[in-house]
Amino acid sequence: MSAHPLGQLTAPNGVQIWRHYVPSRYGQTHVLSARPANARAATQRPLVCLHQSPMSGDVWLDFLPHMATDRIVHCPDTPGFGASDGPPPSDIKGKPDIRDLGLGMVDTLESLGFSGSEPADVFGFHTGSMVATELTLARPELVNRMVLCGFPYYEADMRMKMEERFVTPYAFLTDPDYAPDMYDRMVLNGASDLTPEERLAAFTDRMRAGPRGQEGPDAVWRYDADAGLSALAALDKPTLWITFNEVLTEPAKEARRRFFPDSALAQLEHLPMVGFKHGPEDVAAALRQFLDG
Amino acid sequence: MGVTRRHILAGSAAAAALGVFSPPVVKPVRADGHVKTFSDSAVRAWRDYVAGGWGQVHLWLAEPAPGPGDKTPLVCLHQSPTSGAYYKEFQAVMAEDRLVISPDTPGYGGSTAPDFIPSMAEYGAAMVEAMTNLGYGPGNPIDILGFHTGNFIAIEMALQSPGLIRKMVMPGIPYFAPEERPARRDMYANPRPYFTDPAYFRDLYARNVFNNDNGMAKDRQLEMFTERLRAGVKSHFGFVSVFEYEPEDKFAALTQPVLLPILNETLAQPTRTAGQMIPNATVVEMPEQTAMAWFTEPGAIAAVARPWLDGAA
Repeated sequence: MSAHPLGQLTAPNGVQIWRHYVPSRYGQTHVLSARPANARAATQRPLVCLHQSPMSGDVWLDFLPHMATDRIVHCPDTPGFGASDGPPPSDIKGKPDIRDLGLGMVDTLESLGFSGSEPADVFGFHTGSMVATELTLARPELVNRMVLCGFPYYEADMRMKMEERFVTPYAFLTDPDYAPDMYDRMVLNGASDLTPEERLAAFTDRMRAGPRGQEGPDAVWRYDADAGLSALAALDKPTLWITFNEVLTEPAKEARRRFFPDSALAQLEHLPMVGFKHGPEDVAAALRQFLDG
Repeated sequence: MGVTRRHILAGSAAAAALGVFSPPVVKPVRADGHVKTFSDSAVRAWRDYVAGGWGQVHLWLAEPAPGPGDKTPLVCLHQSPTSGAYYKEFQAVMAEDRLVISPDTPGYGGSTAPDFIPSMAEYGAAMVEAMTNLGYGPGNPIDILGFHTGNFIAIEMALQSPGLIRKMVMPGIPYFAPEERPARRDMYANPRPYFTDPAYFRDLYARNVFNNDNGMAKDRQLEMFTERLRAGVKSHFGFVSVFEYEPEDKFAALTQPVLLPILNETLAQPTRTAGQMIPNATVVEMPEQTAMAWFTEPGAIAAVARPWLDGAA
């Protein structure tokens, strides 16, 4: 990518990418945004993409040139992750739940200019799919259509087991081998379909969340997904479920079967877990067909 | 009157209105909603971006809660390979009576990296551009403070745009005689072996975080360590520029008043030596303070810098 004189990065196809902050109740939300080379080409409704934990909006970087050719796309860092301020422990009795994260996103969308008369489409991945759910339940009028991918839907007993596993802060400061072992795993011996530089950047994103990075998975396993999804289904928002070939494919399909049996489904299971990075064209095509149809 | 958080946002909106830079919406400013208050102080801190260099320059900003006041804003330039986050504690103290801006040098922290190793003149031009885009310049100058690499960038800014810089505070100037520079470059300015030395990260983490008893809080050590990682495989760029820089004539050409606080650290003697070449320099020896003072005793540095910046010199 090259840099525009006024700061944006320009993707090879002309899509302009920039970073900025907007206000939220917790302080500032950091947002990675993109628009078509010609701003007037942004004829479709803006899309907001919500990432998995413990990462940041940067996970969408490779997706943006494919999706922002005809619309503006915003990728906020979830409160407490990336460069976004998270809920102060004193405000949330120790650790945030999915509703706290969703409320931070309500502020973010409002700060970005979305309203009942100008709602956004929302795409949530893993933790982001739950945050999208709570965002929509808190302020349904801010959301037009929803795309959910990798919704971590498990029965209550499994959630309790997983909650026990994720209940303690990541051991960056208590176990001398924790960070180095993660480095070995993610960077030195990491996914071969990523460049070493990409693996280092992903590892650094995890480091930035620090010991409190576990609050994302922790919030996931404490979330009453049955209550959330049944309330979401009652809102009757047009919803697309996308599946990749990954660990959360079956749990997400089960959630769809139980709560959204008539919703749209795009099975992109030829793509690995972070499908929007490895097959951004296919994911963008599936979204366009649903969002713009 | 300097540039404030509101001016920066207004500047973005103005640019949008011109149709040159087109954020999708004008961001509403919720009163006090997007700033945090440093604990135990009446200073508000926030972050922002400004266009500059090779894309966007990320800024850490702080000002007194009631507003920036009338004092000349202070811009703090960090050492390699850290970021503007380096100055958090110092910023909290200095921003009690003025706006303090700590940019991330291009390629570090959250600022866009160039695709090549910039010269020091190019780093300086990038920072002049960023400050100009914030509305500073002749008639509306800034004071500037650097540490290590940041001092050479500050010198370039002062020479390229003399009206932009009112006064300079330069502890820790990385000055080495020409015959010493190649060895220093070999020692400090090579790409870090992130992918080729399996022990590199493990040793770095142990030394900088896990086994580091330098007096910093552990979570702050982790934050600064992570800021270093953000530069990735380009983390050596700033070091290369430092050791390729030929500063002797640049020192002599400075016209601004310069304060040289000499901390008890690796660059104490190089700073004294450089001071002999700077025409309008005031040297203040601070033997009790190490480089850790930025984190553990920021008030000691502020106590030297503040009266000098606010005095008649």
